[in-house]
Amino acid sequence: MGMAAGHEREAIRPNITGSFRDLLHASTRHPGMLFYLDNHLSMGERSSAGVYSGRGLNENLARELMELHTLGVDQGYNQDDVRNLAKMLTGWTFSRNGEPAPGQFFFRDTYHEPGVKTLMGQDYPDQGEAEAAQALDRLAQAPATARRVAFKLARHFIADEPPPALVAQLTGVFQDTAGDLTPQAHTLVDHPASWEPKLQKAKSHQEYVVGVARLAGGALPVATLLEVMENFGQAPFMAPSPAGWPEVSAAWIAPDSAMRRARFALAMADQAADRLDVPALIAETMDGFAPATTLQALRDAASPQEALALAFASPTMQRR
Amino acid sequence: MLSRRTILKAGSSMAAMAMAGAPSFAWANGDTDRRFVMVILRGAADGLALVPAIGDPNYAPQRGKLAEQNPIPLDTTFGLNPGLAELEPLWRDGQLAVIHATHTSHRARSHFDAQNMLESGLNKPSSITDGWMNRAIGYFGQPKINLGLAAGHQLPLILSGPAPVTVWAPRLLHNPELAFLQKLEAMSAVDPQIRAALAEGAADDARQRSMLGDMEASRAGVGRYGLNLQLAAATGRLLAADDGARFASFDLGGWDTHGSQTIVLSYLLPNLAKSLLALKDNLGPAWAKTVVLVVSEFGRTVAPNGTDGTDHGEAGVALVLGGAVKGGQVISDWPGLATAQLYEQRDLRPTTDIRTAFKSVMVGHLGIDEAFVEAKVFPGTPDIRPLDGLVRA
Repeated sequence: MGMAAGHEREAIRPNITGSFRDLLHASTRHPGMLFYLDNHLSMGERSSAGVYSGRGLNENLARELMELHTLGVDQGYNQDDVRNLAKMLTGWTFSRNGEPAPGQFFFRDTYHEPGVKTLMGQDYPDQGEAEAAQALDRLAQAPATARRVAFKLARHFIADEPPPALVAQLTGVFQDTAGDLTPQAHTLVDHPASWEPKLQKAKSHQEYVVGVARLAGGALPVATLLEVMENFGQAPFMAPSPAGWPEVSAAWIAPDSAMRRARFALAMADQAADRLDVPALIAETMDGFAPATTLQALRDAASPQEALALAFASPTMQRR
Repeated sequence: MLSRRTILKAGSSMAAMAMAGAPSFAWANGDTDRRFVMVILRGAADGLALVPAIGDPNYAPQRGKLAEQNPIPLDTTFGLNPGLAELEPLWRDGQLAVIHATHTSHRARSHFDAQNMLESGLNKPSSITDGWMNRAIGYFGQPKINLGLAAGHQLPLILSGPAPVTVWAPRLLHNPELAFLQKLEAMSAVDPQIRAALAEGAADDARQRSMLGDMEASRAGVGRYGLNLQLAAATGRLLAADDGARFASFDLGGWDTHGSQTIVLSYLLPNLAKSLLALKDNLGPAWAKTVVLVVSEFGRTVAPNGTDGTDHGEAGVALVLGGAVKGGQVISDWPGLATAQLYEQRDLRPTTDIRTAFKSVMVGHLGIDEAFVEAKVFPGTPDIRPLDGLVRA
């Protein structure tokens, strides 16, 4: 968990308005990623450390780099490419205790597989640390990567099934700007689909729990919040696979989790209603935004506590 | 996306169902008394670790330091990992079978694509939103009680689709009063997807609480492995009930053993065995009418990798348990472990499509018409025949 949080804070957030290439480099070089996908353990079979120890390659990072972080599965690479990218990545690790700057990126050349590597039809001479960097540059500008990033941005920010024209537009902008992410954001904000009043996305459980907890005034101990999110099946920074959390509403709006949201809304309202000005809070957060029937139901509630619980559990609060 | 169930439920009164509290239906679930459970080992479990091929002359040299030192012999070729020792009595009683060198038709060593195919039952990865277990449930028409049960925090693809399915996971907070749920349901009418989910969730919750009794009250879920046992035990209890589900699935994770595999498995395997026994114990007499399939999306490399683990491979192993299983046998067209016999000279060669076992359970155990299985459950797979001799008729 700690390493995933560090990865988000140190690799993703500082690069979110820069180029996708820089984001990819920062993400791949981050110790959290190198550890999570086992690259710190991978060594070339013909590297000096590999020959000495009898250990060898670990393909995990190479495969997910192409399948999940850039091209997408079945987008022009095969098993040989996975192995060869793994060879190019050997030596990309972090310093250990007793070495300078422990825990920081470190190229361990004794792990690096010597020789020429062929990646998707192109030869890369032996250049140590620079090989994987060149591979990342190539992956970052591949057309399949442009399409994949565009689709994922549109699905995350606009709708589960985003307008194909928007995805095509984002793809074109990505290619025209060499993967600059700021024009991606501008394109998303400028698109009419961003301004439709209908809430098209379901909040993830984490978004929902944090949103309600914020409105309730943050009186919940962090440990309790964590337990709640775990019970919702979404402990922070603990995505079940390298593919991350699902994006579509069917994953977040389901019978069992609907009941969990209702229970959580009630529990939060129970402990927050007495110290909050409930009508003012509802006016501030829901007036002019929630449907008239929702606002009427909140006015008709039997008590401020029930009004707050209904507001927390309302469809308006469950979507974004 | 609206499932058929949510459309059905949208017009029904959640209040009536929740008010019953502990509904005791006068009729049992007449469609079938057979039970079927899929346990998915997510992350690609190493089949050669679970069921080592100790009698293959190439086993020890190929496995190197991962060669099992103290296997429990099953037959002249295969053994059971000692971490699964608690399952050995089931083998002796003829209630545990093994299918080895089994696989999906996936060949790209991607967890996500392979799980997609394992659960969709199709020949290729796809964005299909229904799973083959759900389509099989469709054979039983529109029963009054959900035949499908997913134990865990999410509904997996294998059980997703038009047929109604219940999700169960341990509860953390107090349940709302009925009056609150009624108001919330009315307020949610503006959002049919949320309203339907809430109505269904309230009904499911009331029914499950009546079946689980003391188990629901005792929050045994302490940590990941405790949760596994709780999911397995609750699945058994919910399937055992006369008016309970008949098809269930739950996941056990952590099998992507890229490093320090022996240490990781020394925790996972006993937990797997205990979970399966918890399932059996809670099924009670219904165990006699049960088939449990334990599968993973693919296997792992035969040789250790550089980090005392194994990387993504091809064929793996499936365990088949239950009173309705013809146990005590390892079913395998064994491909051998010599380097030339391996798939791409690194992985156990796939020889038995796992869908042969799925079809065998569908037809031989659950009594689903074979034509329905071919047309609806596993379309486009005429060459994959049901595995002979896996289940008791």
